[in-house]
Amino acid sequence: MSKNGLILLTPTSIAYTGTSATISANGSVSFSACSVLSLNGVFSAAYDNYMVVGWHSVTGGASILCRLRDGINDDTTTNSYVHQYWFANGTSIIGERATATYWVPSARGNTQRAGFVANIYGPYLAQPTAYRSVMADDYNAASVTDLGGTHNQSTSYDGITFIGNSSQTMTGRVAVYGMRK
Amino acid sequence: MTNGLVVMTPSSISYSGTSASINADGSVTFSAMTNLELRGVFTGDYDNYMIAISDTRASSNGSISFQLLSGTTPASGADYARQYIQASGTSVPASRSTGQTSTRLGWADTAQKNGLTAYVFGPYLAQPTAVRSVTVWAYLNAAIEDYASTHSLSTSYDGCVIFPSAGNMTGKLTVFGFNQ
Repeated sequence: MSKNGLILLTPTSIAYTGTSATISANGSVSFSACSVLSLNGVFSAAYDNYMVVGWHSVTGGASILCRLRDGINDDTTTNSYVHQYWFANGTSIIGERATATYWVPSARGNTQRAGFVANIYGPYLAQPTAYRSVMADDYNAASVTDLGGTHNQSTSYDGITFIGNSSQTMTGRVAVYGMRK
Repeated sequence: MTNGLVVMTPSSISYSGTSASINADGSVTFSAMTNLELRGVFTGDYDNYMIAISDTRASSNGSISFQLLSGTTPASGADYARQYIQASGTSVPASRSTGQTSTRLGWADTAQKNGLTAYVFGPYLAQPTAVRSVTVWAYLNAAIEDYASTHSLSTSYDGCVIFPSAGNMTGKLTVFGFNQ
């Protein structure tokens, strides 16, 4: 018997700073001109691993940041998030590892639209979390930016917050999917 | 419990080449294809889509190209931009092309089978579209050629065209919608 392998999850609630954000009947979240968007109650014991899929535009030329969330609090522990990225921009390829208080799930989208698919491994488990994001970035019309990251806190998180870097606002839609165990 | 990933069965297909057919499960099998239109795979029900192309083998080494499609009309204006990053052995080149009349999802090799997963963000929305592909290219047995692409027109598209840049291509593909 086959089962659905990827389940669309509905946040128990959302919080945002900006013009609007709404949960659709099936569970995705549309947001307009938000600088902060939090999805509460999307990670649970029912799934270990998750896929987050979204498209967006942003008002500035900066990326989107994210933090894991425990109840109503974002985890901002100093140096707890590490991400490695590579960035293909024309014939230039650069990579860097950064230690921060956030990950970067997606980049720009200020001139056209950007999209991303991020896999998050074990956020609800009381152990360190890993994530990997691939995206289509509109920097200089089209760029490849991929990130892989870890978070070193052995804490269970049930939500995620997206933040427009440099206070830029974000417009788009995001959905969180659980991968069946 | 809402299914997250839904198979999008084309309302119809059109092709050039030896054969192409829609399978009972919604996938499309093609043989020695030079042009394949997938109609009605993007709808107002979903924003984002995943295209899985597998078992591809080409008659000539070349790219797997992609255009958006409105009804039966391909979006063939010079409105695509693409950036690739390739890894082949210790070589990791990259390049951007703008003002293109199509974009690329990957490359197909003659020697072995290739595969790719392409994510298409918002093609049915009347806004610019973004596409990202993650590939395995059978060049020298194993290589990577990933693409990020944009299409600048704020037009709604309900389909896409897949075609090899050279020769013909045999394989199978499925379009999925991310439920929302």
